[in-house]
Amino acid sequence: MIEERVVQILDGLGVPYELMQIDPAFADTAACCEKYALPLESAGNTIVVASKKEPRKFGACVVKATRRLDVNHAVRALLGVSKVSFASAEETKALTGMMIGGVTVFALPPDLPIYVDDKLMDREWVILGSGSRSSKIKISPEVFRRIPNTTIVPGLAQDIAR
Amino acid sequence: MRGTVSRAAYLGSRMEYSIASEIGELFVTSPAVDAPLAPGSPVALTLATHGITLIRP
Repeated sequence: MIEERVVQILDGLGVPYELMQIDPAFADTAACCEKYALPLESAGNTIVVASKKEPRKFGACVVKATRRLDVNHAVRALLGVSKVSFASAEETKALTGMMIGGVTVFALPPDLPIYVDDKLMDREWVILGSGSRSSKIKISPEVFRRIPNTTIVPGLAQDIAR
Repeated sequence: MRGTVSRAAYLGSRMEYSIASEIGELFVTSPAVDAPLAPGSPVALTLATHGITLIRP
């Protein structure tokens, strides 16, 4: 089961964490933050992106819920492709084995590059998916420095304009 | 109907909004991620031509 695999990997990374059990009906970011009084600024969403051209080249990006991924510049340059789009729910599930609403950076395929927006590193802790919709992980962002194949990227995302 | 964005969450291919309105807090999703609305933005709400979508509370 993916959630068990995620916990196994977390235990191996050596960063203290809290596995928060949640109602799966409130797994989506805005609903989860509202229901459990969590700041949106601390919610880290893992978004799978893919090149538009075949063969499809995939990557996983982690950004705050309050910031928008710079798909057309930063992500495109990181993947080294001409056009990038978001992986569909079906592609994401097939690639990660995780459910939409629970996708996380832990237990991703080892060859999948991971890019983390540097603004997440400012938080004392972040809320990440657990692989399923029934729990979330509360952990220091320092964990990103311990995940293989992960790059912390300045300018990966931009604040949602006011 | 008029409202104000109280929460905005980016999820890649869509935005999720909580909208404060005269009939209470509304949950709205939008595929318009290129022009996201920030918290505090005033908005006008209409029903989409395809109708409304029911979700679990």
